Amino acid sequence: MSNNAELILAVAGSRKTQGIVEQCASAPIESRILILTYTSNNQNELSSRIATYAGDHHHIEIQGWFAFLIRSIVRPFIPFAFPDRRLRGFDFYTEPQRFQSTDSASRYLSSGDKAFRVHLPQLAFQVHVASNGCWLDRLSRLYDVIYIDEVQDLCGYDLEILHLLVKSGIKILMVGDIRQAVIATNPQEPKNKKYMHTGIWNWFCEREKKGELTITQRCETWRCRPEIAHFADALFGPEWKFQPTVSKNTKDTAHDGLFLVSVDDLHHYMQKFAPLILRYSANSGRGLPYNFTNYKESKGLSVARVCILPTAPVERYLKGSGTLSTQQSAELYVAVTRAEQSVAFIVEKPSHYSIRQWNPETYSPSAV
Amino acid sequence: MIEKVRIRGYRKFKDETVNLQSALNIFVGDNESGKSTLLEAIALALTGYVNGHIASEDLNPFWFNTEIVEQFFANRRSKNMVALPTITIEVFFSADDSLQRLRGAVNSDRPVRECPGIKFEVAPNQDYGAEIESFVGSSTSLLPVEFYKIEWRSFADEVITRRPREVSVAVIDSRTVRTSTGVDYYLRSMLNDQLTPAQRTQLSVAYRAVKEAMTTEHLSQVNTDLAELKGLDDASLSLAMDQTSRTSWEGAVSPHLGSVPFSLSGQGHQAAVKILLAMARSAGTARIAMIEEPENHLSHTNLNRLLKSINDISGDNQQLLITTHSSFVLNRLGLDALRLISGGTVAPMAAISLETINYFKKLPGYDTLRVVLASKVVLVEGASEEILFSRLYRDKYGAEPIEHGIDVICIRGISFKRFLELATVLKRKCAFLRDLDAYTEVELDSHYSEYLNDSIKLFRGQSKNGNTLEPQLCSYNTDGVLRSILKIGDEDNPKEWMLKHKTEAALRITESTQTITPPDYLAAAIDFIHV
Repeated sequence: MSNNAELILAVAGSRKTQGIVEQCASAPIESRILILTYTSNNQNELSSRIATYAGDHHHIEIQGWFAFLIRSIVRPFIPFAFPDRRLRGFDFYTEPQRFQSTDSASRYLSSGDKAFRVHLPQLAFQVHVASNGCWLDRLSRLYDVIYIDEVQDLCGYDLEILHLLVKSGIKILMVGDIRQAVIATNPQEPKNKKYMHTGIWNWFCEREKKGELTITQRCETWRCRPEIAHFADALFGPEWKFQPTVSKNTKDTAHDGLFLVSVDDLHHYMQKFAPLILRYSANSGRGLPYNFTNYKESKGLSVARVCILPTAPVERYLKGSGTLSTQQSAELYVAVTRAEQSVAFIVEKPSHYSIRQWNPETYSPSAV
Repeated sequence: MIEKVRIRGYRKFKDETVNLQSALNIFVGDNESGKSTLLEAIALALTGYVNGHIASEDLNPFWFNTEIVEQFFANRRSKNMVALPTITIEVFFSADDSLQRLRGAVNSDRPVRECPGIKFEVAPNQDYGAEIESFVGSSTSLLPVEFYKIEWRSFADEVITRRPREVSVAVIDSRTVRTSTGVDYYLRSMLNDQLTPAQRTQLSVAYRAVKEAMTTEHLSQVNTDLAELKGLDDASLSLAMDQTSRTSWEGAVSPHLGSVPFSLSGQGHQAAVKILLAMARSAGTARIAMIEEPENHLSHTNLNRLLKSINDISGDNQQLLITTHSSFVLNRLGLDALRLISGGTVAPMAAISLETINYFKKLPGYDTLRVVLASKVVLVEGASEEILFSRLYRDKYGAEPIEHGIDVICIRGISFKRFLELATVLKRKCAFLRDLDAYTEVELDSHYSEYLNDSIKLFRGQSKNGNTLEPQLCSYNTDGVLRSILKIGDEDNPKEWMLKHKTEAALRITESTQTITPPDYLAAAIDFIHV
C-alpha cells in the first residue's frame, strides 16, 4: 500500500537533522517546505543550518510544534469550535483544567483568550473536528512537503494531529530516535499515555501495519566509537527490534571507549580531558564543583568526551546487578551517545565494576 | 477573486455587504452616492494605503460614518455608555490556491465560514482607555483618532504588515500624477510587478555600478581638493554617491510616454497607461484593478480603444471594479456588470437578459444610465412627446418633471421592451407612452403585457381619437385654440400643420402662454408618475 508518510528512525549521531537540511538544499528552489520540531534548541539549530546550507531556498519555514498548532489550526479556524472567540496569546503555566468539559472554551482558553499550553493539542483537535478538517486542505495547498524532526517528542493529542497529517496525503517526512525519547510535548496529558516517550514506537508500528506510513531504520553513526555504540545498543533489548548500530567513527585517540573514574581522580580527569560533564538533574552531584549539564538537556549535542555522574539505578546496571526502566534507558542512551571518543562514569569504588578504570598514573600529560 | 466586501462604519457605509462578480463590476450612482468610497475602502483593506498615503498617516475623524458617530455622542450625552465607533472592512476571496495563507474563519460571517480574506479594522487602542474617556467626556463631537489603532489581519488571524504579495491591486483614479519622479505608490507597485526578479536585480546592480563609477572617476578630483578640509579627528572630507536604498534605481527612473515624461503627458493617456499596466501583470496572483471613471479626460475614440482592451482582458484571471458616469462605458462593457449604489447601499439586482445586454453593447450611445439613476422614468417615442410631456406636467404640478425625480427619456426608435426590461430589473416606476400607429388597442396591450404591473404602465390613446399624438391633440382641443397656441393662420389646418412640423409644434405649445388640454391618456400618465 502506498502512502505519503515516511518515518526515518535513526540512531544518535546519524546526522538526522543534517539529513533534513541536505534534502532541503537539494530540493527544487521553488519548493515550499515546512520543518517542524518541538524544542526551541532544535528550531535554532535547524534555522542556522538551513541558513548555512540552503540559504538560497526562500520558501522554507521552520516552526515549533506548538506554533504550528496555533498558526495552522487553532488561530485560523477557532470560530468553528467557539464562534466569537479568537486566540490572543499563549498561557504557558496554567495547570490542566480537568474539571472543564472538553467542549467548553474555558478548558482551553483563559479569560483573555490565551490558549493553555497543556490543552493546546486537544484544542487543535477540537477545532479540527468542528471545522471538518479544512486546515489540512489549506496546509496541503501551502506546502509541498512537511518535515518533522525529533518526532518522538510528540505525545497525547499531538499524536492525533500527527495521525491526521499522516493520513492527509500531504508528503510528510518524520525523523526521530525512539531511544532518545526523553522529552514529551505534554507529559501531563492522559490521552495516548501508553504511547508517550519510547511508547511512540508501538504507535508507529501500528500505523505501519495499517499501511499508513513506511518506517526506515538508519543505523550508521558518524559520531560514537563502536564501543560506545555497542554499550548504547545494549540498553534496549531485542524485543524492540532495533537494528544494531554501525559505527563509522574510526578515529583513534589515546583515550577511547568506556571508562570508570574514581571520584578521587575526577579533578585530574576533568583537567586532562575537559569532558562534557552530565548529571541526572539539578539535585545530583551537588558537592562537585563542575559545570554540569542534565542528561535530557544534552540532547542534540555532540562532543569528543563525556563524563557521567550515574544515578543509583545506573550504578546497579553498570555493576550488572540491576535493570533499567525504559525511561531510564532512554535517558542514559542520550547521555552516552553525546560522545565521539570516550564515556567515563564517575563512581566511588571502581573495583566493583567490570568496566576498566582510568588510572591517572599511566597517563602522562604528554600522552594525550 | 474578491467574492464580497463587508464595510462597517466607513464614511457612507454603516454596514454594507457588496457581492462582486468574478470578472467585471461597474458601479453606478449619483455624485456622493459612495462609488468612490467603496473602491477606496477595498483598496484600503488590500493595500493599507488610502489616496496614496499609508493608512495610519491618513487616519482622521472623517473616516467614520457620521450617523454612527452622532449616535455615539448622543448616547454618551444621555449617559448610555456605549462603546466607541469602529471601522471594519472585510474582503472575502474565493479559495484560489495562491490565497491559502489568508484563509481562515476569523471573519464576521455567521454561521462560521472559512475562506481567504483580509480584515482591516480601526478601533480604540486599549492602552489609552483613560485618555479616550476623558476626551470623549469633553464637549467634542469628533472622535479622538489619535488614540485609535489600525489592525490589519488575514482571516487566519495573522497580522499583516504590508500588502500581501499574493494579492495584486491596481488603483487607477482620475487624478494626474505630478510627483517629481512621475510615479505614485500604485504606479510604482504596478511597474514593480511588471519586472521579473532577475530584471530588477540586474537594474539594481547596474545602477550601483554607475554610482560607483561616479564616485571613483568623477568625484575623485573634487575629493582631492576637499581633502584639505580636515575634521576633528583629522579625517578628511570627501564626497561619495549615496548608496542607501533611498536612492535606488526606482527613485531615479521615471516612465515616459513616447518621449514625454509620464507626469507631463495628458491625463487621459496617463490613465490609459495605468490601466493597461495594471492589466498586464504576471499571473499567479489575484489581480484586481479598480478604475475610477475611465471616461474622464479621454476623447470618444480613445475611450473606445480603452474599453476594447478592458473588454479583451477582463475575466482572464483579472477582476475589474469600475465606477462610471457614462452610459457609453456601461453599455460597452455590458449592463450585466452593473451595480447601483445610492446613499451607501448597493442594490441587489436581478439578471438582465443576454439579448438586452448585447443590444446595448451594439448601441452604446443610448442613455441607459438615465434609467438607472432616475427614481421614476417616463419613456416616450420622440422629441415632440418629450417636450410636450414636460409642459403638460408643469401645467398640472407647477414644476419640471426632473425636479420631482422624474426623468423623461426619449427612446428614439429603440425597442421599448429593452428599456422596460431595465426598468423591471431596477424596480423603477415607469410610465411609457406609445402611439397606436397601425395597431389596435388590444394588440398593443398584449404586446407589452409581460412587462406591465403596478409600477410599469402603458399609456396610449384610443383609436377613435387618432393613431398618433397630433390627431389626439386635435380631438381634445378645438381648431381655434390650436391655431392660437401654434400661432398659425386660418389657412392652415392645425392637424396637417402639426404632422408636418412635429417638433416645431411641440415647441410652440411649450412656449405658449395658453394651456392646451391633454388627451386623457397623457393626463393619466402625468398623474400616475407624479404619485
